[in-house]
Amino acid sequence: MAHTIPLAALRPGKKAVVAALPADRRYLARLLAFGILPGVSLEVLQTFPVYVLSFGHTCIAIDREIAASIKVGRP
Amino acid sequence: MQRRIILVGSPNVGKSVIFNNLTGKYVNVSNYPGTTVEVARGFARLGGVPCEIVDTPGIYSLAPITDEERVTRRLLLGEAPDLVVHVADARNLARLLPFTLALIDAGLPLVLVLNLCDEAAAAGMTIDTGRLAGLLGIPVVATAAVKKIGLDRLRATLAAYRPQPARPFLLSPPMEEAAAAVAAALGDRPARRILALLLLAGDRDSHALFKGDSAYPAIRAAIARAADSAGQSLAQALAAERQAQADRLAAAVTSYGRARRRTVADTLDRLARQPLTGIPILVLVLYLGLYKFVGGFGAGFLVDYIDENVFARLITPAVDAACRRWLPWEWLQSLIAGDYGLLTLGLRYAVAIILPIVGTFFIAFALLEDCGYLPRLAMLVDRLFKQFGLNGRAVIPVTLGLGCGTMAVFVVRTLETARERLIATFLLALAIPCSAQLGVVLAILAGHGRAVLVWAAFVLAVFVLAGWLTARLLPGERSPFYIELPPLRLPAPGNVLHKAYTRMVWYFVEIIPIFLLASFLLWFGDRSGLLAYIINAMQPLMAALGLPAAAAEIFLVGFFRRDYGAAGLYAMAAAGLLSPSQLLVAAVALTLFVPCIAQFLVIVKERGALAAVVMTATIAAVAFAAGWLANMLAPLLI
Repeated sequence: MAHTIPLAALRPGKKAVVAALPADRRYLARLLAFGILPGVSLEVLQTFPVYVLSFGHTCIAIDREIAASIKVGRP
Repeated sequence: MQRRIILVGSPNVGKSVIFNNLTGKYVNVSNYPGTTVEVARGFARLGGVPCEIVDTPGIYSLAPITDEERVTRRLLLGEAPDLVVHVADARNLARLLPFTLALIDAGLPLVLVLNLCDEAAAAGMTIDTGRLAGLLGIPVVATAAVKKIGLDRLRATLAAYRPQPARPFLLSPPMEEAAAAVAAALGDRPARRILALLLLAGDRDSHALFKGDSAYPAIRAAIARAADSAGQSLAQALAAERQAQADRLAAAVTSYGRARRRTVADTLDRLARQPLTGIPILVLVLYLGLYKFVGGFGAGFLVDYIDENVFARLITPAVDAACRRWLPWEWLQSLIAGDYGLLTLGLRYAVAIILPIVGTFFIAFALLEDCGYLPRLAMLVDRLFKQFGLNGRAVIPVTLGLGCGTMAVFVVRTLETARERLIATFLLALAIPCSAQLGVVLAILAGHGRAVLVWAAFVLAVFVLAGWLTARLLPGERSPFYIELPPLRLPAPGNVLHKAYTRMVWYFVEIIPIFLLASFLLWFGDRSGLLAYIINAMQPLMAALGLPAAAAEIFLVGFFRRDYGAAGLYAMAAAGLLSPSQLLVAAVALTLFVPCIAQFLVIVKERGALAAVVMTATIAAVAFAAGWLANMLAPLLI
């Protein structure tokens, strides 16, 4: 993907595709367990007080630090 | 020979409903289910064979992050179950299949249950379970447990199951070579393949398992070679390969039709998680659930009714009369029916005052749990809780602590780091009143609206201040916040009542002996003069708080159980012995005071004796200081 930005930079209602995951194991292990992998397309439903993401039939909430560690690209 | 069947799966997929359905009423409640902390064990007869069914804490993968997930992993990999039932959410088949594949890698005898198939159908999904069973090589059953659909077929499948280990799904050749190299270093042992894969993925627990082993250098070398050729994180590469297999499997068995829109649930969901509407909803939930239902209905109406109509009118006079008539010794009469009698005090407090309050709380909590509200609560308070060195997940033990602090300290295990567990335990012991205290405090302050507000402000201020200070004084990092938000669902009344009932039984079995012991010790202290001596010795403290000497007794018994002390306070207030400002001081001090002995013992068990003693001493000092401050400020405030 040519141009990627941190997921935390997206506004509510935006859709994106996961481009890269953080190397930090504490974040990575959870994201992998939720099924968030490069190539997964997701929608940002909300950014405050935490980020709420919807993908497939799943909805998860993550804090700003985790959201900032995920790189996404255009869908 | 009894078979052991283990239920596993991620949170919110209905494991416990299936568990309750399989086991019926024969549940061992010594480890209470629900927010499954330990494991719940039940018994069932399947095809004439007695089976032990084990419900486990929810996990997403075999690489655990929290202590409770470790419990599940240990059960799966350490105890050779006869059958493992993976309960999955049918709508999220593709996301949950990697875990099924991992269980197959582990060589476990496996059945896959696609639960919530009614929700999948509503979303327009049709899943060909027969085809999936063929592809996976294990039995697959579709159920909608809450609606009791598919449960007979599940029972029949479990009864007819014969061990037939499925063939693992092979990964890409380089990954398989790496796994084989690690497995070779592991030597001959069960679950070799999954251990090798977990080691490749960098799972800390698996690495800890082999750290001292002579084979460890060889394992490390094999992993390093694989990491070099993979060029990216092995954990991520493995997950990606697994997900690709899962996606292919799901695509092969799923067909899509028209989805029914869940407009009402979606709107409610949005309202509950946006702060502007979510925080008023949170306040409303607390007001209706805690203040109105637990405080008003439980602590007000039910307590009055049971205490006045059942105990004061029927049981106590009958026991008094019977004792006087049949028991010639005065000491025995007073042991059973006196001021500190086992029946008139111990059992009465437990049944008439505590049970209705705790019971109504457990019903309210089970409702919140089953409709899926708790994760939304967690995300709303995450930023606030981060100030206390915790994250939003801690709201679940904290909310449960409003019911029973002892139970809540167990649930603290769901937090990731030792530091978070310590802070949460401390705050639970100090500033989270249990439902019994809460109910009693609300009941005695009922006529004094301002006193309730001042009391709440005091306790909240102590909670915030203590949390803020602890987070700054205690070294260590905080853990990231992540939580799955399950869809909001209408709770099934049967499941809510079953959950509340199971917890009530657990609570009751736990407290009755302690209540009886406490009234016995009080009776003994009373007769031997020890009680008078201690109360006398505590008089200066009581005087500093502006309380009558008799209040010392409440603090003394408050150590046996905070709720017992609170019940004593209720009795004193009912007798009109305390002024409004004294009530406030007593309520503040008692709310913050040392946790009851049961909670203390659990703290020792979970966090260690040193932490428990330090916490208790700190709490006693803080409670006294806050009580003193309340006494000083009371004339200004109420």
